[in-house]
Amino acid sequence: MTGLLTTTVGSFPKPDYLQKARNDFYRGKLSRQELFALEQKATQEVVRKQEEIGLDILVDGEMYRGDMVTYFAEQLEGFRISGLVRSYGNRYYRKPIAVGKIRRKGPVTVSWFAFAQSLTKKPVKGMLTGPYTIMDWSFDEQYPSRRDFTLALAEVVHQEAQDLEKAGAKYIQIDEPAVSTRPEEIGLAIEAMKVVTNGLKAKTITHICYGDFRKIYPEMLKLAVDQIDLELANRDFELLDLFKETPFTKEIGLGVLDVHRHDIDSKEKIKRGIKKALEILKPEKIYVDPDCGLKTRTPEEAFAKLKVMVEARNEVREELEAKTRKLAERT
Amino acid sequence: MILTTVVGSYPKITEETSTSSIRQAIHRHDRGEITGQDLEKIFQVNTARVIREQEALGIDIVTDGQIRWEDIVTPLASRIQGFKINGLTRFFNNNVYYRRPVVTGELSWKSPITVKDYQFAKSQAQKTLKAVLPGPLTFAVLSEDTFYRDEKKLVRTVAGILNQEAKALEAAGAPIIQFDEPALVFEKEKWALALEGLKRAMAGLKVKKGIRTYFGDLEGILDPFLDSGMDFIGLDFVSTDGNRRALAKKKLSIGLGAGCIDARNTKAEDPSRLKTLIRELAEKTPQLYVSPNCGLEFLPYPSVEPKLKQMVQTVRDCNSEMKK
Repeated sequence: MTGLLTTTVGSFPKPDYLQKARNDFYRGKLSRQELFALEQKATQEVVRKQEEIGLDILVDGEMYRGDMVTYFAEQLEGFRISGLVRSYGNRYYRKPIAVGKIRRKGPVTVSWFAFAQSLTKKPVKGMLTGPYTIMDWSFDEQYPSRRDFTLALAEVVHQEAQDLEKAGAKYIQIDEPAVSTRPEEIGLAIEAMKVVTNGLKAKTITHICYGDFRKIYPEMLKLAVDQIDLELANRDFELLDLFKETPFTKEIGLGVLDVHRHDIDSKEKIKRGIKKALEILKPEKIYVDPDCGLKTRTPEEAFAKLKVMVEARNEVREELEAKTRKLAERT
Repeated sequence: MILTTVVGSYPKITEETSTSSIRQAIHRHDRGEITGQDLEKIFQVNTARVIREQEALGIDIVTDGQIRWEDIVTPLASRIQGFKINGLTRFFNNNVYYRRPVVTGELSWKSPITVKDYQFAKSQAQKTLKAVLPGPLTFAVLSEDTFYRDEKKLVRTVAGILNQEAKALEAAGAPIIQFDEPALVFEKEKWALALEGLKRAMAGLKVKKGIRTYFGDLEGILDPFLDSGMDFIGLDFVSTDGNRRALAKKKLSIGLGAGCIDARNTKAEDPSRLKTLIRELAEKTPQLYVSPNCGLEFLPYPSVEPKLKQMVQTVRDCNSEMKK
């Protein structure tokens, strides 16, 4: 059968040797080339691992990225990287500051996409951070308003998406986790996404998380993408009830793994989530994946979780096929 | 005379990585390399530093910078019986996360929570040091309630606990006690419950007491707070224009804490707009306190000094013009 394809949200945990190499690089103890070689090695490993697990749509694993916004800001003209700002607990990050007109110096992620795609026959998904999120997670000393800043970024992300498509990407995901932060600005995120995906033939996806979806639903269905990817496992698939009231008109990226938990999700829970989604959407419209990026888990946890996810999907598929067979026999 | 103040928090770390860095000390404490007493010493050194920095920049009413606090609720919740601390949750509309307290049993206040820290900070301060506590509605909204399952009851209970803490701070010599109520700007429909909670939290206090709101405005719900017996109200004039509209053609009989500097962006304020705003607000209240629009911890350390310098200089200019 077709449908119920499995994928991930983009990031994978970095292996210990890469984590250490990144630290050494920042301390000046490792050259850019040496780090690059290790990033390539880790990318090869993570692509192979995804194939082994049996995922349908792969990613490059983002072995070369730190923070999902700062990474792009570092590659773009017009951004400066600030001092340390606390994110939570004892965790700090360097937040970008727009200090000039934002422009692309050249393709940002394309060579990594092409490298990953060269390693596999399965489709690799291009992974970008959306303009609204880059805006919301940056300081701005350049643009007169949040809208101006967002739309400038939308143009840049659009160019990057076009280049990914030219390089052969059949799936392009534009993550907008910040969209749920300020429900009153969903209109701006929608306006910006129109710019980003304008004219693309690839399947487009956006990932939204960490928020009260009820406040932006069904408005968020206006985001100009084919698929919206949502975290559902960490709320026990409650959100799907909302879609029974007001139909979900796009494909869904069905988050079935709670990425904030160390323990491995139960196969039964994952199957329950998939079946609940099947009550409202056709299998072709459902893509099974984790709630969010896996980079905060250990490699062992991440791979074990994905393995259970694929098994659960396979069992649901078999059950569906058995049902269809029975129906066919009767008629 | 217009006074200057800060809302509460201050960046915990500078750009230098030294042995007195809170970030490193917490790491080392987590790994068991230093003791709780060693960590406490680092907190004290940094509390003293941020107070000294605020005073050197010309802030009239300072805080301890909340450098021991990960956020405005968990430091208290972790020491109130009946709370457990849960996983990460977004802090209002910021890309900042806090660990959500969960009410799992009857809440009760056993002994003063913030008083020792207040006393230490006071011993380091030359200027007036205000004490800051979360407001009851904000405390309730940022928590998950699996015990009372009744928001009104939770707000009232938390308010009673905050009242005990505030009284202990008053006894320790705090001349100003501020309750932070950012939840109010997001959940305006709960204003009556917030006010009831605040009245309970402030009951019997003889020192100056008031509230601070940030990340938005109180347009539409401001009036009941103005004549409720508190001595000052703090409003954000940067995030939206709502508070400016709400104050149009209005004169307050209480103090106004005015968040005029954007503490969520590194960009400097437009000098003439800032001056116009401060002059306009000074006409509306018997005592204006000019401050950033929220805690300073959303900024990287190097941005704080230029921001506060601009604020203090503009207030000085306004004060000397008003004397003429």
